[in-house]
Amino acid sequence: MAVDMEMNSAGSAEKEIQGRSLWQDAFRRLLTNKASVVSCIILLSIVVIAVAGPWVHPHPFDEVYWDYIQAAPDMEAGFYFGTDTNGRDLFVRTLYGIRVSMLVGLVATGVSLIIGVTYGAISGYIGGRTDHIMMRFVDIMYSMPFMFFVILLMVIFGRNIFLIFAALGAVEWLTMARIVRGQALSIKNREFVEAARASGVSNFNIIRRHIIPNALGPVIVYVTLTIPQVILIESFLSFLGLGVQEPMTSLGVLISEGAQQMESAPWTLLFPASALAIILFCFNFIGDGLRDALDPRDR
Amino acid sequence: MSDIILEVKDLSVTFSTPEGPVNAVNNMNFTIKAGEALGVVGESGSGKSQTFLAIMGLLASNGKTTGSAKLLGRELIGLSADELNKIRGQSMSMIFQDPMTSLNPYLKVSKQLTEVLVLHKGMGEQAARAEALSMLEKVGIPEAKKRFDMYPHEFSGGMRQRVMIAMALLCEPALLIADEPTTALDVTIQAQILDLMRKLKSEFNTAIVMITHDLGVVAGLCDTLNVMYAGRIVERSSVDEVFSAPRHPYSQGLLASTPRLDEKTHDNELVTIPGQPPNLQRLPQGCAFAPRCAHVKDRCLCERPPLFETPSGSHSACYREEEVA
Amino acid sequence: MSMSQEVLLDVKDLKVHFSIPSGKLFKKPGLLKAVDGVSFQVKAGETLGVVGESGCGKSTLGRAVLRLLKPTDGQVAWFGQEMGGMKPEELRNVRSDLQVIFQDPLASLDPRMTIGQIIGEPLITHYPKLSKAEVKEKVKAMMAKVGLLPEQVNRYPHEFSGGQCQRIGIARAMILEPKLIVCDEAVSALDVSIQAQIVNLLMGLQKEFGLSLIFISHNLSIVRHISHRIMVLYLGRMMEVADRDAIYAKPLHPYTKALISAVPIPDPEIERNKEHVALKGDLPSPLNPPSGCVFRTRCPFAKDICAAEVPALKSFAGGREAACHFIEE
Repeated sequence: MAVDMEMNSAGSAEKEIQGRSLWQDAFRRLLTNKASVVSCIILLSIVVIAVAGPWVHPHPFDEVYWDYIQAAPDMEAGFYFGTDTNGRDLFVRTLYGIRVSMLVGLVATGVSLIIGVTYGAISGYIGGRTDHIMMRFVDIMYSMPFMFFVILLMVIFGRNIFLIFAALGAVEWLTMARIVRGQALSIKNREFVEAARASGVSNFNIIRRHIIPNALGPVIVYVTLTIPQVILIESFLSFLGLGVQEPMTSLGVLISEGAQQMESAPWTLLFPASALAIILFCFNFIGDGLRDALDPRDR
Repeated sequence: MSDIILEVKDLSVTFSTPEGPVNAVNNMNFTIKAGEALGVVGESGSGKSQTFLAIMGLLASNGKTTGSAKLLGRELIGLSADELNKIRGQSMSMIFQDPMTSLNPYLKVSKQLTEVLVLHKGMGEQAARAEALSMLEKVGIPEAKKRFDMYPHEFSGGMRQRVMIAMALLCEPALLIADEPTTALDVTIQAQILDLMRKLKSEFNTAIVMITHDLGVVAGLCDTLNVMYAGRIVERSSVDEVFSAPRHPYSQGLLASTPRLDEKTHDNELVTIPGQPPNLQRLPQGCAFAPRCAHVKDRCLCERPPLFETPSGSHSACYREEEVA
Repeated sequence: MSMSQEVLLDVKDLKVHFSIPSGKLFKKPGLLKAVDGVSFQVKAGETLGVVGESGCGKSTLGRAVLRLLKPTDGQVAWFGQEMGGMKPEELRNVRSDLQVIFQDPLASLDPRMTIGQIIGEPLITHYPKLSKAEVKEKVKAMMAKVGLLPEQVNRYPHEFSGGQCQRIGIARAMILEPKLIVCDEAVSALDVSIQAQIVNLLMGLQKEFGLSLIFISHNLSIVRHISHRIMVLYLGRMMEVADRDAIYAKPLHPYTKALISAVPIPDPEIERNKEHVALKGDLPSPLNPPSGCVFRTRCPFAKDICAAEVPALKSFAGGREAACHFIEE
């Protein structure tokens, strides 16, 4: 993760000893955490199935099978999870739901990561009045009623999956910025940053080379907790009917539909809800493991 | 004067770590008499603090102590936490480099001091307060009455160390263990604290253990000196002897590499001990000091030298003693 | 020290004040005068020792000289040019001649970078045109010079001992071949036997490169060994400055005297017979220093005039200076 200065051995005959970076140490510690490793494997399998599944599966996600309206799971016909009220295959729809939910989670978190880390690092490192103004802006954004904001966006621009990314990212980066700012504030007073300043390294390079890599530990932990949070918010928005548009679907939409048929067709709720729960569990376990691995003092 | 306060025999401390067991202290043997001040010097990781934390029963949870340490004839190793608690503070006390680690920041100093007396001596609240206040005056806290009901953070660093010493002395312990008590203090304050400790020694006949890295502190306070290296005593003798004629190459190097304020010429290089402090997890087979020693012989590399008695009655763990004898 | 030597650094009446929140809602913030009117010069090839107790402003002074802090008032001139008025580009050039070594060897190295990246950073900052191979070659040469094994260039700081980390810090400070290095308690965190190694290394580098040092420390014995001239600070003010042998042989200022007598000498013979006068009492709060002479509350010779008037820094024979009302020629 640190700036890689992969320099080919220059005019020296002796063999260079390869060091063990803190990231490698942390990774090694993560591998000793059973819950995290198992979660990683489960999550990875879910992603692989969600991505590859629809290609192999015989039923498309938006085709209506008139003979199988609200049918229970049926292995022979290829409806592993049954069908929904419109006679569409629930298995493939769940896979699409996972795809969309994961995509929303990753993209929104990625957006918040980029904005939040940059914003927080600059605010914390520069400090003083700049920090004040930048953080007050964050406070103002925080106090905006989120639902109102999303509904407003929907009304103005119509329903659009990119809007959901934007809306979620716009909210999630605030906490990220605060976390990174806190880190930057403590790191900038560490002696290695003073040493860099004393030798004339520019602010940009100090932030890029010293502040961000050293602030990344808590950020990574927070990312693994943000992804499920974003997935949940998206599900909630979809549940309210503000999410993705039919026939495209997400876990939230599926759960919302399933909840309405909960008594007559419990499988329509059970499968998407389980998928969501498993994904959230995995992310939380990974986050826990990462926190222990990155900060061994807390154990 | 010659009653033995503390007798340590074959004391060893082992820590279990994820990388395997680490022998922090090995086969320590020494005694301390009443009114004696023992200096313990060594580099970080030499086991100088761990020895006494083990005796106090204050080792970290992954540490294990074997051997024997008798305080006033009573075996300490293997005592239950409750029994140790009674002895700690009553017959032996310890003060640390950072007084704030042993003072509760949310309790008034008066409360913390009287508590000790009520707990260990069963004194009444009023009597305890009076006793505690007089102890604060004895350790030289100016306007002790005014400061008695203040909180620890309202005291300066030197003052806090005095409060710690007062607390350690409340039950008139036979043994006071001081772990780098002046390292965090300014020199003028250090001089005050050392003066106080000299007074304790002469007036209360308290046995003192002074763990430090500063040879100057040892010279001004101590009677005997244990020089430790990699968890073992490498030299043990009277302070006068170590300073005038150190026997072990490590003690010699340590003395020579300490710049003196009163030295005459300065443009010379300081004598140094080459190399790095030992890694306890990868100690050499023979003498632990061998890789840094100027007098190293083949034998030192494969066999560890025992503690030899020298003609003058001191002890040194070096094969050179054999040649002399 | 001959008088013809070039003056690298000329500090005049330097002041660094911090405003400290009073902790009460409507009270004005307090003013902490960390450095209050300090003047000195550093000549080429010499070591200026700066001693004093905690809170005397010695570290703040170092940071102000390095421009890590903006001085409140006063001048810091580098080769006669005032640093306060420099453009960022000029200041960057000065920075390649002015380096720093910190107290905590591990904390002063970025834990996420390899030794090669750490030592090479000043180089790629000031000479961005150098190829990676050239940077590495120079880094390795400097590692060898400070007593590190060049093949360890790809290791990380946590894999080294404290003494080795300090050598890495020295290599980083030396890589641009600077003219002046500020050593802020550079050996205080090290074991005694390692301290001597680092002191020798610094003195050797000084001889080889004609380097100047500002050696900030609370350890008077080491300061005496390494310095040519010594400045004594107390609560942000200069008490005395003189050649090292003169200051130890015959300290003029009562504070210098007390400081020297408080240092324990590793010799039981001397220690037992020495009078441990020391000083009574504690340092006053720097937020609320005594009026007049800041040392008067602990000074055994204080008179009325000391409370009323700040003693000026007076010059004495041998180029020494001291600030006390009662020093006679």
